[in-house]
Amino acid sequence: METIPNALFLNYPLSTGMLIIGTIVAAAIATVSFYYGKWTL
Amino acid sequence: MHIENLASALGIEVPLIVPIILLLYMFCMLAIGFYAARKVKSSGDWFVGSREMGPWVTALAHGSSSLGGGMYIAGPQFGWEMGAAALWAAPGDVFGPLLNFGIIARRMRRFTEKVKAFTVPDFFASRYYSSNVRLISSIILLVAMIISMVVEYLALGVVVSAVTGWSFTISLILGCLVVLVYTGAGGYLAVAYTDFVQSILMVLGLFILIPVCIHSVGGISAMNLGLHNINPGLPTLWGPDFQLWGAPMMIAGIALVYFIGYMGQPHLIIKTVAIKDTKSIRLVPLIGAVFGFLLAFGVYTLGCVGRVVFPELSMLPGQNAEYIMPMLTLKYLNPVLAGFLLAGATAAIMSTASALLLVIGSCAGNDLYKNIICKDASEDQVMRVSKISTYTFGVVGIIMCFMPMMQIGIYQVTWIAWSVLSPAFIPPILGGLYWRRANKEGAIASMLGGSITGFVWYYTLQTSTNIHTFFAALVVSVVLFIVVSMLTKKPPKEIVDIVDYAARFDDIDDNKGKIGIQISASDLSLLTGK
Repeated sequence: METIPNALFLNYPLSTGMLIIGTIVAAAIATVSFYYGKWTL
Repeated sequence: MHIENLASALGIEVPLIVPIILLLYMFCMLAIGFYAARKVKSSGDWFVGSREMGPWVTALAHGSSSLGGGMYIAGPQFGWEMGAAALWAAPGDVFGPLLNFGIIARRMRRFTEKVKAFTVPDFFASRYYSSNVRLISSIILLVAMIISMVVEYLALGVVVSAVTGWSFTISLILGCLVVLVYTGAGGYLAVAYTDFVQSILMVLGLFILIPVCIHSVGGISAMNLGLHNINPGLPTLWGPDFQLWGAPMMIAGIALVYFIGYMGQPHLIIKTVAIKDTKSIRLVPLIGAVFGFLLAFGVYTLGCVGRVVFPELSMLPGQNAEYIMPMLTLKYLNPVLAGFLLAGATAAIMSTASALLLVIGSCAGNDLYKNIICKDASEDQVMRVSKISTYTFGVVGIIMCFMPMMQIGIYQVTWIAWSVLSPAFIPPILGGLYWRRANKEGAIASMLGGSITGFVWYYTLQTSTNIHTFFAALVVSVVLFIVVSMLTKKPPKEIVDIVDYAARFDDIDDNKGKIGIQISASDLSLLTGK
């Protein structure tokens, strides 16, 4: 199949792919650490 | 412009079973509302469910209240117009619950319980020891919430007419009346219980619809390639023709409006007031992040699929991208399944509409009637006025749906409501909980400055400056809050004591009735002579 130049995965361009992965990783770290009481405000 | 009969416009015949499914669903919502009404014994039950809501109900109610018609109808529309650039708004829905429950909930829960506050203007009046702050915040809240409610009503009309084949007008009125009745009857409990059921329907609906639609265009890779072929900017974060490249202020606005914007929405903040305990607060962001990720990324992706399937605006009924979600549903699913899925969309919209109605009713009954118009009002009178206000403003919202100024599109109206309200309320809420020096003058300046800038900027400067309304209004609001607070006198010691109490780390449950400072909102009014 034809691909988009510089695609990261599933034909997602680098910018879009990074946003999706970054959101998953950052949200997992922030919410799990909050649940276990590693930080609180 | 709205299509009077979407199914006819698409050349689809809707079987009788579909409206029956929808009517059954609406009947169930009414039944839940009346069940909740039997449990309502006091105004506290009606306003905040007696502060006994658990983490799952709270998280799902918070999620479904924030991701309503604005999301189900306007999200795919934004995805259709902007392609993957719409995803800038998605992380906000993932992190929004974390901001509200990680930053605000613990202190807000403790503060409001201490001063016996039930609503956001209640909190403002206590924290800023002024009935003027209550009045100003109530007016801003009512205006913005009614606009937000109109968004949900319009979305409800779109989806119900698509499901039933009935006219847009009849669909809108029927859907709105059901929401009005169950919200008015059961208050917070009804909203929370129906939200819980509705959020499950929302997730199930999207879980079926999105994979089916993506499969129909050949998978995610093919979808991205299809977007690339329509316009190379569409699969990127920079939008069609790369219009967002070099516009950081516009991107910041799109990202922030649904990110930190969560902290300025009273119908979401109220969930932090009603939660049971500290342990529950810790679980909500985790549930909310999963829920928000699936729904937010899901609806924008749905819009991208819609762009591949219907690449030109002229291919859409009424040349209106608001119909993308119901169109994809009716196009790719069999009518009965489509009926169930669109009932899920109806659920999402009703969930938000009911949460907004509750805030409006609470504001009118508790903040305007009890605390400003008739201070001697009994609990029964306050609850009656709240219910009557809920019905009245609900009907006003229905009438407003037909006004020309509300015909600019669901997506645009949603942005106006969020861009005006959140910047006005975020500094006074955050500053009120975290900054001992914050005072009433700063709060008033921030609320007025933020909301007025939001309105004016949207209609005059947003396009020419390429700076998003939310961003501009927030900067004005924050600067005014800090500068005016610093230039005027400090808040009374009694207020600072409660701010300090709210900041303490001992568990909420351990402190019921045991703390040293016993001061109510009315005591504070007497104390400060306001």
